[in-house]
Amino acid sequence: MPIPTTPAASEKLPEINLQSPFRIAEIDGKDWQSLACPEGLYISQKPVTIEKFEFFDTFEWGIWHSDKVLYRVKKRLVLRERVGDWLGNEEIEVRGMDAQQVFLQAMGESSLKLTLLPVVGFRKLLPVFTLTIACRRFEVKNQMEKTVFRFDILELFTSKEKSVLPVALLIPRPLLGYNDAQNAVMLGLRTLAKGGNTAHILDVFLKKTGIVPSTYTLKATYPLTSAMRASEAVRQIASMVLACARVNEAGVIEDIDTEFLHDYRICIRKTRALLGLTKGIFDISETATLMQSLGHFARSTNRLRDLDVQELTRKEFLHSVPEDLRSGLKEMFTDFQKERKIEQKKVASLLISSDYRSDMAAVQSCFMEKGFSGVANVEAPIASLAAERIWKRFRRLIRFASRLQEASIDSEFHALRIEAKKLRYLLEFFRNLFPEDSLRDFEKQFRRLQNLLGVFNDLSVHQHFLMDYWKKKQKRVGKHYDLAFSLGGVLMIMNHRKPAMRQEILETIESVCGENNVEKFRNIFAQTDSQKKP
Amino acid sequence: MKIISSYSIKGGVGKTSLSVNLAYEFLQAGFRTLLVDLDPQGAAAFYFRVDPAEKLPVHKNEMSIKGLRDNIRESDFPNLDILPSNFSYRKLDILLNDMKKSRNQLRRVLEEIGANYEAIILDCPPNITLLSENVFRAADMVLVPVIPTTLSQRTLEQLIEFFEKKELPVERIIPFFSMVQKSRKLHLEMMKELPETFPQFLKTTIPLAASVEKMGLHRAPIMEFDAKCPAGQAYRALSKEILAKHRNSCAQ
Repeated sequence: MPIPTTPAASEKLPEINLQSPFRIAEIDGKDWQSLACPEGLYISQKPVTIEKFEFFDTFEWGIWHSDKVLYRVKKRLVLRERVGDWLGNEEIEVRGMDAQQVFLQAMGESSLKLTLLPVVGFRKLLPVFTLTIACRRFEVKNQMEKTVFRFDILELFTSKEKSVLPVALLIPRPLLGYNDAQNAVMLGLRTLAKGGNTAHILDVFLKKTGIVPSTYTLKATYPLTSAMRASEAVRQIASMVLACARVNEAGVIEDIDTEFLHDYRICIRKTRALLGLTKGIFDISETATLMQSLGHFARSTNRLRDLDVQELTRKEFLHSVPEDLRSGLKEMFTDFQKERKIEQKKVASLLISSDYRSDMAAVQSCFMEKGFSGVANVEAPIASLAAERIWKRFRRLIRFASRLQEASIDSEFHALRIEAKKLRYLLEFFRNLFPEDSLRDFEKQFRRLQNLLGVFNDLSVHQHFLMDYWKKKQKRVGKHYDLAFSLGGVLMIMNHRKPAMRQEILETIESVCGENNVEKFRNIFAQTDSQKKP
Repeated sequence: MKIISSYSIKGGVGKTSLSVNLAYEFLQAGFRTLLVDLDPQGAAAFYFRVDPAEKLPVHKNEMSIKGLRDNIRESDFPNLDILPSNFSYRKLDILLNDMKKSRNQLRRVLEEIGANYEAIILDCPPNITLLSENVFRAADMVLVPVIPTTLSQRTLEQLIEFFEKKELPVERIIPFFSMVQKSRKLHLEMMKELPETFPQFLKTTIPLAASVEKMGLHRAPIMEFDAKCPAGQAYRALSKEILAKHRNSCAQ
């Protein structure tokens, strides 16, 4: 391919920048070197190195969407930012990585793990694409044979034999204190530049190879408009949420990571909540049938989720108890792991069964245009219906919250948690219909309340779970003294944590249900004059 | 940040060889290193193929931090940088004398320009002047190459007297045997006697070797062109001993 001496007028050339890589057309040895090299300097080339880069990401491509990439080359795991047209100079790496360490939780502590945790969470790191990079390193030297500048030319391949991209990337590697020489060389190298495409070179590579980064998200934005009919709005939301549930089925079946089941269950729960919170739109008996099906899907996965939670929280749980109590618990966790394997197979069988597939298809079809019989509110504009429901739920939350005291039993806190969840779902479904910043402070306080209620609930659920386990274990052969000792200690520790948590919940309720928020909700959601009165 | 100087009142004892090879070894040990050439001869920079600086940067009667930073050059080894000297450094003493806090100027400067480095090696000229005092005050360790002869004892005593007179910590002086010829009886005797008087002597010794002289031909640290030679191995061992000593003194 002939080397262009002047770029085409239509192509935008990069400005000279000593730090930034730029694209060049395919090159051919000597000619471009003499073009690039001013008098007094000469270019020498190092042997070409070819390395395979395996890129990892989660199912959601969370790392990619946070403008970073995680790759393994030889035994180094490296995290870098996607900057400009290549990758940032700053990198975090971990050495000595092997192929098995695909969960962050299994890795040793490092700044890479710390940086990735918020993005990756409990997701498995999956291989997403592989890139072979041929790197030609060039050194520009002066008459004293001192290196005054370096640059690399990278060519990206899917395999050693086949070039995917018709462009290469030139990466300048300046040396401190040699600006003049570098500028002179870069002036020459600039003539090799190929402009035009402004997408990141990895985006170009993925497009060429047909790999599309996932845009999966649990937090969808529902395309609603204020004037949309209520039935239409509910159909849209439900269709999207159920589609999201279905996307997770394969991950559950293959047991890739625990988040597939978690997301699946959230979607089922949201769909049920949507139907429950928008009563009066669709026929009562049809809704009841649907709720039953959805309830069945959720219940079939309850046990597996409980066991997943045990496994995910195992390390943290063991660390939170005194060392003397830990050895007895190991037997318990071994039992959980065995049971989990069995339970996972059960759930996988269910999800691939023809019964499930037809039941789920039937549920989804209900949310097609004529799938449901509408009733009174079906024609109501969604904005006014949503406002009315949100206002009602908020007042209900306040009523529940006002009854709570420190001495209230666990189930009363649980009831508040359910109320809070219903309000949260309503806000999530219909948020976009209302002014964006209007509830920012409330949402922050509300999230805190929900987190506290969630942790408190998890504690109670965990206690019951462990008691159930103990009851079943007692019936089996063996004395289990260590286990009894450990479980007794653990249950006592859990109980001791509760009073402080109750106190914190009650304090948070005061701000969430305070007069400020009542006023805000009234202003935004109260529909009738009587509702608008303080 | 560690500041280590290679110093001797006498010339030709192996100061620059030490500086160059020590800087290289510190780099291999993972330290981002700056080699500061304070000798107007500019030999240390020469070994790394770095041109002399244009001039000694002075601003408002003080050494210019910006000027010195602008003079820093990256060597051919990433993370090893060189601050070359210039023939005008021969006037450094006179300039220092006219500056405020003349005995601590170097410390001030190194704290500023050395902020991004984990190790700074100072290659010093062979004399005992205001610049030398600046070096003694700035450095965590003053490494003194000693050829094992009778005159070396006198040289060391002079240095210690100077330290005591200026109330500088004598324990900063770390001598080691350089250009050793084990075939010479005098060398062996001195290598036994001197440490009895000066217990700070390092255990590692550097042999007299042609490869050290060949550094000027190759213009590179020994381990770059003759990794197996005893002198190169000795510099590596010396660096490890110095690092261990520095870690111990930090721990105390």
